[in-house]
Amino acid sequence: MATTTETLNGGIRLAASPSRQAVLAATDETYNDHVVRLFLLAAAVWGVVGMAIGVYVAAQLAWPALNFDISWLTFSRLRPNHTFGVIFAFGGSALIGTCYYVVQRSGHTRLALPRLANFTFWGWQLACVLAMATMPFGITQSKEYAEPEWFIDILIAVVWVSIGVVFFSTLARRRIQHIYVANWYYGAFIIAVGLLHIVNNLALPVSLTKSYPIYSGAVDAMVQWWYGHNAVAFFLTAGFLGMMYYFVPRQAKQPLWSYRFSIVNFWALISVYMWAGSHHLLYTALPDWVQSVGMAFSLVLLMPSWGSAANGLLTFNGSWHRLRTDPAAKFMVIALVFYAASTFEGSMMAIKSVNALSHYTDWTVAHVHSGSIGWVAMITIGSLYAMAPRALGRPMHSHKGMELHFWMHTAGLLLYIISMWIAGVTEGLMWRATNPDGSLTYAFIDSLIAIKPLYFFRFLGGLLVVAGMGVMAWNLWHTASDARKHLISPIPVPIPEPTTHQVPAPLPASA
Amino acid sequence: MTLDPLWGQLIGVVTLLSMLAFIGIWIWLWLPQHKRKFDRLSRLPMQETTRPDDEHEDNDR
Repeated sequence: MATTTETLNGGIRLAASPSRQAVLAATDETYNDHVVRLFLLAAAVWGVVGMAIGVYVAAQLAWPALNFDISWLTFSRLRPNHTFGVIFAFGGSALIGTCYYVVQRSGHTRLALPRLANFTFWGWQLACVLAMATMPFGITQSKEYAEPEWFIDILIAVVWVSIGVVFFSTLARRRIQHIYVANWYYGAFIIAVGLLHIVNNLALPVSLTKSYPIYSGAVDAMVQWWYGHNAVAFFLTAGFLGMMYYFVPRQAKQPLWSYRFSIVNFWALISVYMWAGSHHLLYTALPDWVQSVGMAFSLVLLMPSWGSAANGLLTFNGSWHRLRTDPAAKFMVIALVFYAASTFEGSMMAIKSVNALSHYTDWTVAHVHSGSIGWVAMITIGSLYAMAPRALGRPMHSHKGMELHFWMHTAGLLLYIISMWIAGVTEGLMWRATNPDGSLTYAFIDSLIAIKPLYFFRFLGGLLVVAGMGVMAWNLWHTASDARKHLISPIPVPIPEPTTHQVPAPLPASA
Repeated sequence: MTLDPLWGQLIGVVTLLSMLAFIGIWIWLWLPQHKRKFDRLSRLPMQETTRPDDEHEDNDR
């Protein structure tokens, strides 16, 4: 079996069908999957922890006595732990882990700066633990999705810059000239989130546990939602699209439907998303024209969002039969459907007249969770199931476990978002109803009583989702048994023959 | 407070430049000399090197 390489336009070479022998003869360089495995483990653990906290606070909304009158167990104190736990601890660990995995594979090179890469793992875990250990005790900036106080923010900034250094140093030593599109998304994710985090968290500390933001009034609100919305844009969208653009073609065993279209969508997405944040502040003290700008950009956003969703789904054309046998592919397809659905919903909710009905209701909660449980969690789980067998050196321990997880997750998701949609529209309609004399038809408590049963179904949906995550953690733990016993060998990097004038210059084989 | 008309001109210029950049990206991507390269790249994730006994590792049953 011989390794064949094909020369491409622009001096790109790819190994077409490398055999192990040929590769080993060429090099002793291997992929650094150690740090990838650490992030994989962290993602599995944080997924269970973050979602379990979510289920607990959801239970408090159905049965308020469950906070036991203990301040740090109340909904208000624990809600940031749920959002930080699922977005930054679970999502962040999965993003950084897959990012390190993809940048090596799509550049045919080993991860640069292994010690710094290990630091990013431990630094990120420390930041997550510190944040979640301080927020319930009222040590918070009270900025949504940016609650941790200044000393944790500094740690996050240092770790984030280190992630960028590892990622871009690895890109710089790649052996394939063109940077694969997934890396463009990961790169935008790293640069933009660093920028957002630092600008939004500029504050003057007055003690170890208290600081004041340098912004005030409407400016503070705008900076916060410029950050908040772009956290959705660059953390929860661009980062996970990086995952999607690598693992969907990998799992569909089909080429990406249109590589060119993926680049159009990249530039459209990153240039439009930045300006949509003010749709979080419709009908507030923000100048009206700023609100209108946010609404207009939110509507334009539908196009790049659906562009990527369509690109991913059409990649499955010709391999739909794989959905019958491959749970990872199933997770990915449903994730793409929910990406399309929740971005459509988001654009609609940014229209002022729709927002007048939806804002401050549970419709927003339904929208966020259709995006997070539907799109973000499902593309993550699909990608982890696709990556784990390679990073852990053996097939997944239980195929039935993955199937069970898929159905638990999907059922929980539907239960959650349908109940919150109904609750949200009920609230919106009851709050705006007026009597002929102009007085309000309903008191707030009336709307609360009307939606109480739906809070129970939301709790039930969340319970199914977190139980599914437990199944995944169990499955991954058993799959990792060989890795824990150091029985697996590192995967060699396939190194194509250098072409003339290759940029960047090829590395020595044993670098 | 009224907006200086100069800002209106600037917004118009920026809008025009953004449109040109967007159309330019489409044209650049569909240049015929890029076709082969992009076709190859769209297959990159399928060419991941794995172990020889990797046939069973795709969660298929």
